[in-house]
Amino acid sequence: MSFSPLTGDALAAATAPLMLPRRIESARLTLCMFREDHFEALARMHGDADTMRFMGGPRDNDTNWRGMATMLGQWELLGYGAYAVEAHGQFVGRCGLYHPLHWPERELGYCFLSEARGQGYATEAATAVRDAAIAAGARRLISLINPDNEPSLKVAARMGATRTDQGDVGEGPMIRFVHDMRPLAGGDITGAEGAKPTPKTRTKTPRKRT
Amino acid sequence: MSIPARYILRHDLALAAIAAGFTMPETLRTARLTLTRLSLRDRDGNQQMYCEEETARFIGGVTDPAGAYERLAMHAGHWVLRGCGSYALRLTGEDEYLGGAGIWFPHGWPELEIAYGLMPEARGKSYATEAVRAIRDAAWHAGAPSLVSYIDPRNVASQRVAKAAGAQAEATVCLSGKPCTVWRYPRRGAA
Repeated sequence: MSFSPLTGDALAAATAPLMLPRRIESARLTLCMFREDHFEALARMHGDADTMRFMGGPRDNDTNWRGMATMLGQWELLGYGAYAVEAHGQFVGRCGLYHPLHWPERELGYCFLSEARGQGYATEAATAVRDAAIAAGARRLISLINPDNEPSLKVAARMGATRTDQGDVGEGPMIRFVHDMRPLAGGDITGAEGAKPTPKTRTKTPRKRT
Repeated sequence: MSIPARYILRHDLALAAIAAGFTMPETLRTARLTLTRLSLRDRDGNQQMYCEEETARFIGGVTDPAGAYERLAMHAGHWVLRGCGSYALRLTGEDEYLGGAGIWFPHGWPELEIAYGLMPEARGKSYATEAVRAIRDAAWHAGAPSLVSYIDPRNVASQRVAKAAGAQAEATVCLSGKPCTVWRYPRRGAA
């Protein structure tokens, strides 16, 4: 079952042009463009059956390189895309906006190496990307999460995302979460060309959407 | 995919050239054609090419619009990672997408390959040969260590293009599970 198509304001918000910064710094993480030297760790992550359980299963190296090129190429085509996430200079995962043609709309997605989990990296990276998107004028972002993917559900909950409906994009059932895109109180966020990191201004508990 | 043993050295030389900054021009011009680095402008043409069984048969196989779009993004990323990639072919000054041609060297590919595919209505006019010659010359100029085209033994039209651009059949190898002939372009001045 595919997701119901967007209409009205949601459609306008989901399809408005968007340009994201190519580099974002958060408290512990650097989000940057994929490079050839990220490939080995990315391939290890995407080759791991457990990690890929909710994302269509593990993939071989040739597929993974093409996947990395596709993620990078989406930046060229659309002006936004997925970041390689580094902690202490090492690749720990990927996070950013995915928008394949058969996706219902642009999605904030994330995936981390098994040894990098349990440290809040996914929440930190996804929040940084969401905030960069808000700063760039985005009014709508979703995440698609398998109903059995507990760690990912927790990330969406921590970020205050709202569960809306369920569908399938070819990788099993997915719940659509709509992110809290209200403007940030503190103005600019990290990542804009030369901008200095500013403290987070969001409260920890998800606020009620108006 | 594993690289056939006899091509490992050439594969490593290609990787080394890319690491050392091998970069193809973003635009090439021939007598009739302008070749531009593949971009969002080419989305519809790219989709037509990959979604039609007969056209896509020898360039990765037919796919749906989502798959075609993914290939477009992949080619765009290939440019970023490899410093080279696929060009859209158009008659200079015109808008109609005639096909794609360029350097193809994804992970696991034995050597830098000149790959090409034309829309059905653009065939029989030697556009592919013209594009391949320009790509070949630009690639030698940019420092390509070796150049080949991998061609399905049944794809007679493509073999004619490679031959017209100076390539010679060398051997048959298995690539992505399919047999194909290695057509090697002799170095400039060496043939």
